[in-house]
Amino acid sequence: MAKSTRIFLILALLGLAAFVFAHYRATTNLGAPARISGWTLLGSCVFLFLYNTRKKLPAPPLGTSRQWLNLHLIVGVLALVFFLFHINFRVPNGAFEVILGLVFLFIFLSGVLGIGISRGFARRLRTHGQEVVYEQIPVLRKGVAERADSLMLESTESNKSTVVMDYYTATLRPFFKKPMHYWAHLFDSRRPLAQLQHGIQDLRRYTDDSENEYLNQLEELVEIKNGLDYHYALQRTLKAWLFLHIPLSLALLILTALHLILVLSFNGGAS
Amino acid sequence: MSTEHVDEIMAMAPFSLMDESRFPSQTPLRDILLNDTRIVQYQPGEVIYKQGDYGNSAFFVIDGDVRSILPPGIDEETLGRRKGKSKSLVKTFTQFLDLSPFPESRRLADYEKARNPLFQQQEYAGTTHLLIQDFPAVVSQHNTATIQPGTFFGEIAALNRSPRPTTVMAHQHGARLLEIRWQGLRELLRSDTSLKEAIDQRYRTEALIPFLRTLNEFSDLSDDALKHIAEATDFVTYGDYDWSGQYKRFLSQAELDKVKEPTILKEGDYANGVAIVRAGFARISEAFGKRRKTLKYMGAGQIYGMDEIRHNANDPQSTTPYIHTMTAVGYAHILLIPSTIIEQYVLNKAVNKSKPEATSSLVHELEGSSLTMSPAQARKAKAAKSKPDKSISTEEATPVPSDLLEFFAELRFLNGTRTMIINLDHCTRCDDCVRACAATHGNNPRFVRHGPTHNRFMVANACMHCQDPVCMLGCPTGAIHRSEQGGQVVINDLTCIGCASCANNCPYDSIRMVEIRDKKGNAVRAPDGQPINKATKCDLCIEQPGGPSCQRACPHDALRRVNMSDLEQISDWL
Repeated sequence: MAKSTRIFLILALLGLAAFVFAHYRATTNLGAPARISGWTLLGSCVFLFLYNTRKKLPAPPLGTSRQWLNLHLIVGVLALVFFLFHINFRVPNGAFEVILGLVFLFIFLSGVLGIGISRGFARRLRTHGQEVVYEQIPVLRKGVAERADSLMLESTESNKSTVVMDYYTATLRPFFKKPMHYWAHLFDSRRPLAQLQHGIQDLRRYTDDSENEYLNQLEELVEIKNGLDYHYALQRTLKAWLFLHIPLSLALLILTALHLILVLSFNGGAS
Repeated sequence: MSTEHVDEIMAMAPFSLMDESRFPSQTPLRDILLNDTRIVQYQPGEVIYKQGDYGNSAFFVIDGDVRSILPPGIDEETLGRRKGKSKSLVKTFTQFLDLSPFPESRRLADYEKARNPLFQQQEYAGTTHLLIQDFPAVVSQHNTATIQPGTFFGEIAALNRSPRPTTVMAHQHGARLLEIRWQGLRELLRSDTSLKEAIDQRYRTEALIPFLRTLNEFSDLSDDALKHIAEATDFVTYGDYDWSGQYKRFLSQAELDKVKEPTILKEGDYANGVAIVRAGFARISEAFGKRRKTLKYMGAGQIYGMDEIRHNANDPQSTTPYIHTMTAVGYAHILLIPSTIIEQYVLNKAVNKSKPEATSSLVHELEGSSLTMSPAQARKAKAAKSKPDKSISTEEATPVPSDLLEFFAELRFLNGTRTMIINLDHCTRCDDCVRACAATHGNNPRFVRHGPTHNRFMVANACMHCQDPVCMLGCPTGAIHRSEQGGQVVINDLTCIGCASCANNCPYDSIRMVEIRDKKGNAVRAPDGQPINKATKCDLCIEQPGGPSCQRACPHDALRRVNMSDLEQISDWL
């Protein structure tokens, strides 16, 4: 564990202890524990949102993104604790508060999901298919599809048989044309690829050696396309989860501001 | 060169004094002059080369007035190099307000403002020439030395592939020079002993002793000891200076394993000296199966053979030969110091520090000795071959896995001092590094997050800021140069003329030529209608106070800029 992470953890534990102590004192002294948890939670949420701002400003010496991410994770967990204290470990009252609470939980869970897939998918990407840049996948896919098309045309012409071409047109052409088996790839299932390979294997009963040569090449293209689909599915998910996490965070800040206005407006002068 | 020119040169000393019969029949002296040299006429005030330039040719003054501007010389900015200033903290925040929506857009007024008052660029004979406008003033303001007709200059930097130490210009009446490619110079040195001795002597005093002083093993030796060591040192260049061309050719044919690596020291041979890498790279390997296993590679300043010699000196009864083989990767300029000299001066430092003279008689006996074995040594070697003691070697302690070393060496990534390595097990392909790079370079990313991979590591296509910067050879304006502060290889956009020599030279394709636009997005064109090109590459965010933004932008610590010579650093990160 990096030295900075250890320092962050120690500071977080001290901060948590201070919070619990202050909250306990406010509760036992008939103070306003909700204010303590509320303001702490708001501060945490603002800090969590600042990470996105740091990403937009890569040049100023504001610490590395790695340090910010570590802080983001630690403060994220603390924010959940502050949130639970704030709602008194109960389901909140009123529709607005329920929505606010659900948005918070949803952001937290999307964060957990995000960090989970970031850790897991990176390693899986390395072990499947060739390393590709996400933006280049459509071009590479088109190239593979064109190679498969021309291969099959060549096979039909040289072998004077349409058996392979018929199978290709019915089963494999759609596979080559667009990304396929998104969810299967996310869950690391090899079933769709096995099915395609099985189909090609079945076809070999009706083909001669010359056609089998073409089928061998086609099988290689199927594997390349499957690798591209795998990268497409995982890389897309790695990018997409942020489109859930960040807009929801922005929504939470707006809802929190409304919540604050409501609380301050209707506190009836309570201190 | 025409035969008339060759005749003219052959009539001048030292060429007239050279014994043509000593040159091999396949490379006669006249052929060397015909094929590896050219006569260049320099106008008064014309710059021959600038301090800090890299070049692979030496010069011989035929006639005229040549001046070398002695250190401290002309300042970097005046030489047309980039200002090395870091941006202020405020500027690091506000620079994003100035981002252009158009790729490679430039503020054209900057080019006007940067017009160098000292230098004037002239295009003739198909090349760009730099002239110092008020050269009498420059000469009077700086300390200069006159280089007399009939003398060589620039040969040490050319042979060592080191930066030119001074700026050299033609004075008063201009000068006529013979420019000799390093290949030609090497052939001359091979066959003409008097020229070799003269250049070697200059090399020993001007370059070798200061270099030895920078090495830990030699740093605390007395001046006398260093002088004796320098006198006993042989220097040999292994491999090909133009390794990058060969590397590119084999890379394009996916046949890198066919690149030959000349042997410097061989496993099992009698350990009769140490080899120090002066420039270039060497690989240390041992026999493994039917091939060789890489244990480490070495760059400038690293020494091989010291363990064996120390062991043999301590225990003369059980001598050991070289435990590993040392080969040149690409090219390597090697200093070979005999074991007797090492034992005398390095392993016996206390004596040398207090009484350097006490050993001089012995040293004189050894002067001129090379690593050729005497019969006694050969007998020792034979005996030693049967009992190599691998336990004495420190080479096996290398912290980076052997397969990764092979990958770095085969693709010549060992040349990098700031190589971008990505750990694919941690990289989420989020491209935060690319975005950060673009944001700090006017919306233009200066690297591609893609490149050769080995196991979980990818070496991305980003400038590695090489130890041996072949990109810098032949830049006509010196726009590509090493920064004064950190040694990063940077391009001054304001003085780059878009000739693409750097991009063509770079073995790793890390320099891209781009067509520039103005702030409104219009393509900028030269008076003849041709688009204006500029060379672009990673500058390691030299102007940003925080350092390379790509590395700092990675949330998962998946990207590092590493010095490939520092295996400990790589290992720590792995």
